[in-house]
Amino acid sequence: MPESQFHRRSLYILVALLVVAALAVAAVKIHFFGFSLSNQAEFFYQVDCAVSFDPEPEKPVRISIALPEPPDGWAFGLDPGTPFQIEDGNGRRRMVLELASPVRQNRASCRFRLVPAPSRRAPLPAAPEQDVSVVVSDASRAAAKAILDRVDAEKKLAPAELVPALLGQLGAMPRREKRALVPVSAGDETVEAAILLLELRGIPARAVRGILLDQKRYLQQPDNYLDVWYGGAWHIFRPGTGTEETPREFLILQRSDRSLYEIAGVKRSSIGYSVTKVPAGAERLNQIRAQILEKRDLSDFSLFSLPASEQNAFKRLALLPLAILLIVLIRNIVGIPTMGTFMPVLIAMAFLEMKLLPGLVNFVLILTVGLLIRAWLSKLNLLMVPRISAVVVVVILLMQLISVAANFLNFPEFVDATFFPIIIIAWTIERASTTWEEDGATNTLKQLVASTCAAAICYFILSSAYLQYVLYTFAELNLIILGVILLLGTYTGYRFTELMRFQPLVKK
Amino acid sequence: MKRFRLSLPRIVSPRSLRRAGVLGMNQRNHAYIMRYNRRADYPDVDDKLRTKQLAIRYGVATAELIGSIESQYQVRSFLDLVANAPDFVIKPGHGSGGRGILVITHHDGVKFHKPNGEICDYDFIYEHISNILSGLYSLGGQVDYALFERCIDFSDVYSRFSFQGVPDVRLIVFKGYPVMSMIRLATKESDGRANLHQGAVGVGLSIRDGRPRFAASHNREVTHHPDTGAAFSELVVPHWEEHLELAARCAEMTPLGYFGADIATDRKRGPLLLELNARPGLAIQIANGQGLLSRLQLIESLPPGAHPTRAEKIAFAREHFD
Ligand SMILES: Nc1ncnc2c1ncn2[C@@H]1O[C@H](COP(=O)(O)OP(=O)(O)O)[C@@H](O)[C@H]1O
Ligand SMILES: [Mg+2]
Repeated sequence: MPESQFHRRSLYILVALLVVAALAVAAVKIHFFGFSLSNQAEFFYQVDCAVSFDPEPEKPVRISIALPEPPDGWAFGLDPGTPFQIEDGNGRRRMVLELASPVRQNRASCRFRLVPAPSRRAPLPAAPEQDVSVVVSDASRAAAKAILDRVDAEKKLAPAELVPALLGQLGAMPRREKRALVPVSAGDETVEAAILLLELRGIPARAVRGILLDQKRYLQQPDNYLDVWYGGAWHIFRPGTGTEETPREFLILQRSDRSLYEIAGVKRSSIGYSVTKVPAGAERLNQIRAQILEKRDLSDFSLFSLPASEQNAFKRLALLPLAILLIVLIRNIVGIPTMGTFMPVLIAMAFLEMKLLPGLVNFVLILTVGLLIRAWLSKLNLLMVPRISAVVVVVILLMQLISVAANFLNFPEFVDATFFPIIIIAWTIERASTTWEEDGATNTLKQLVASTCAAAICYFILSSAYLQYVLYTFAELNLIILGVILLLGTYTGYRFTELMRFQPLVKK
Repeated sequence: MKRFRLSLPRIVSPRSLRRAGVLGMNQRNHAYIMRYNRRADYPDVDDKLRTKQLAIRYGVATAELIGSIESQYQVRSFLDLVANAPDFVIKPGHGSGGRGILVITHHDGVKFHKPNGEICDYDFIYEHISNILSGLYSLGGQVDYALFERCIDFSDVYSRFSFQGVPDVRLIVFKGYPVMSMIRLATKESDGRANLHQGAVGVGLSIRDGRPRFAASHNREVTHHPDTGAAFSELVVPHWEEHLELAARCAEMTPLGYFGADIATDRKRGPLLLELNARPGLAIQIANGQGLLSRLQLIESLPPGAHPTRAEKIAFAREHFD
C-alpha cells in the first residue's frame, strides 16, 4: 500500500532527524562548552536558602544568615545573582539582606555555591580549647555517671564506639530524663545531654546544625547534629541513629555559639535549604552565554539556573522517558501484560523514595489488604465511582496504619508509605479485582507479579546515578528515546512470549 | 488441584512462526485492527442494542428483541415489557464478559425462574435493572441501558462435549470472508465458562464443512474432553452453512473489516448471532493448530471485487480454508 509506505518513510525521516539533532546538540555541548559524559566530572553544589516571612507593616526587614562552613576541599561563594551580601559584624561574617519598607515580598532566597577548591585546602581545624567551665549540678552529674557506667563501665570504649553507644542509650530514654541532665540548655536534649556525658569523659563535643549535601530530599530543614573531636578531627554524628555522617557530604550551617538566622521587622518566619549538584560544564555554558549576550535574563535560560529544589525535581523526571521506553519494551516486544500501562513506572518512583525492599513489602501488603477489602466491597453492589472512592479511602487509611505500626515497632524504613501514588494503587486494586472476577485468580496473580517485577526493573534504571546525570545534563538525548518509541509503535513482529505461546503451531 | 508441569517452555524462532503463517498481537493490532476497523464503527459491536437493530435490518438471526429500558422512571413498567414473553434475558447495553446478564427461563409475572432453579421476585429484578442503568456493569461505569431479549433455547447437540455452560461458535470474518472458526467448550476447570485462558477447550472447525480439525486447551493438543471423556473428533456442528451465511451477513451490517462473530444454536430457530467482537483474540490459531496470517494474506492478495456476492465469498472460503 503506497500510502502506508509514505507514512512509514516520513516516520523514518522524522526519527533520523531526532537522532541527528540530539547527537549534534550533545556533541556541541561536550566539545565547546566542556560538558562531560562522566558523572565524576567537576561539579559544584548550588544551595538555595529560602526564608519565608510575614513582614510587619511599615517596617524594613533585615535578614542575617550565618555563613556556612563548607567541608574540606570546598570553598564557599555567594551566587552572583543573589541579593544577599556578606557583612562583617563584630568579627563574624554573615549573609545579610536589607529590604526597605514597605516590604511587599514574603520570601527571600539566598543562593550560594560550594566550589571544589582542592588547591586551597582548608587549614586543619584547630583543636578546641579545653574549657571546663560547664556548671553541672550534683544531681545531673550523678545521673550522667550512671548512664556512662551502663554504657561503658570499664572505660574501654574508644570515642568512635562510645559516641554511637551513648546516642543509642539516650535515644531510648524519655525526653524528661534527658531534660533533667541539662536543665538550662535550650538546644536539642539528646545532643546537649551527649555533650555533657562526653565532657565527663574529657572528650570535646559541640552541637551543630547542618544539612546533607546529597540530593535525596527536595527541601531540607537544618537538623541538629553532634560534633565530636577525637583523633585530630571533628566527627559529625546524627543523634537519632548514632550514625556518623561523611564529612564530605555534610554542610555545617551553624555552631552552637551563633544563631542560624536572625530576622527583624517580621511577625513569623521560617527557613529551608535545598541543594543540587551542577555540572561544571553548565556553568561555563552560562558564563559564555552571558558574555556573548551581556544580558543576565538570557543567561538564565537553562535548567541549571532554576532553584535547586526545582532542579532536583527535574532530575527525577530526567529518567522518566527511559523508564517509559522500558514499559513499551516490556509490553510490545517482550509481551508481558502489566496491570495498567504506566503503573509500574509510578510504583518504581515510589520505590525510589523509600528503597526497594521496604517499598516492595509495603506495596504487596497494601495490595493484599486492599484486594481483600475490595472483594468485600463487591458484595455490597456499589456503583463504580463510590466503589473506587471507597478503595482510595481504604488505601489512605492502610498507608497511615502501616506508617504508625512501623513507627511503633521501630522500622523507620517502613514509615514512608505515603510516597505511593494513592490513586494509582486504588485503580490497580480495582482493575485486579475485576480481572479476578472475569479471568480468574491465576491470570490476575500473573499480571500482578509481572507488574511488580516491571516496577522493580524500572526502579533499577531510575536509581542509576550515572544515567540520571547523563540524561539530565544532556536532556536532548531524550529525543533519541522519543525516536525509538515512535519506531516501536510500528513494530509488527512477534512478541517474545508469542515465541512460546504459538510454538505448537510450528510443524516439525 | 492443578498439576504444574515442570517442563521448560519451548521457544521457536520468529522465522518458523512466520513460515507457519502465525499472526502475532502487534501485527494483528497494526496491520488488521488499525487498518480495517475505524474507531467510529466500534459502537456497532460495543452497543448491544445497535448490533441488534443492525442485525434485524440486515436479516441476521439473533435472539428476539423484546425492548429496552433507558431511564429510571421506566423501570417499574418492565412487567408490561415482558408480559407477552414467556422467558427473557436482561443485559447491560455496554456490558462485557457476561457481567450483569440475568436469564429468566419462565415466569408468571410474580415468580421469575432462573436456569439454576432459583426463584426471584419483582423487587429483585427491579433492583437489577436499576443497577444496570446506573452503570454497575458497564465499562468505565458510564450510565447504561438495559436490553431485553428472548432466551435462547440452547440446542443440546453439544451437551456431551461441554461441562455445564453453553458452547458458542466463533468465526473470524475478514473483508466479508469467514476465515477461521472454532467452538469453545466449557470444562470443570473453566468453571462452566467458555473462556480459553480459564481452561476451556477450543476446537478448531474446518470452514469447508464445520468438522473438527484440532482441539487445544492451555496451548496443548487434547483429543478428549477432560470431564465428559467425549472424543472431539466425533463433534458435529449442525447447520454449518447457516453459520457461514450468518457470519458473512454480519460483514454487510457493519463497515468493520476484521471482527469475530459469536454464534449460538437455538433448538428451534437454528444458529443465532450472540455478539460481535472488534478485537477477536489469537487463541483461535492454537485451537486450529494453524496460523491465521496466511489466510488473511490470501484474502488481501485478491483483486478488489473478486467475489462480489456473499455466496461467492463463502464458496471461496470453503474452498481454501480447511
Ligand atoms: N438470549 C440469551 N439466552 C440465553 N443465554 C444468553 C443469551 N444472551 C446471552 N446469554 C449468555 O450470556 C453469555 C454472554 O452473553 P454476551 O451477549 O456474549 O455478553 P457479553 O458481551 O457480556 O459477553 C453468553 O455466552 C450466554 O451464555
Ligand atoms: Mg461474550
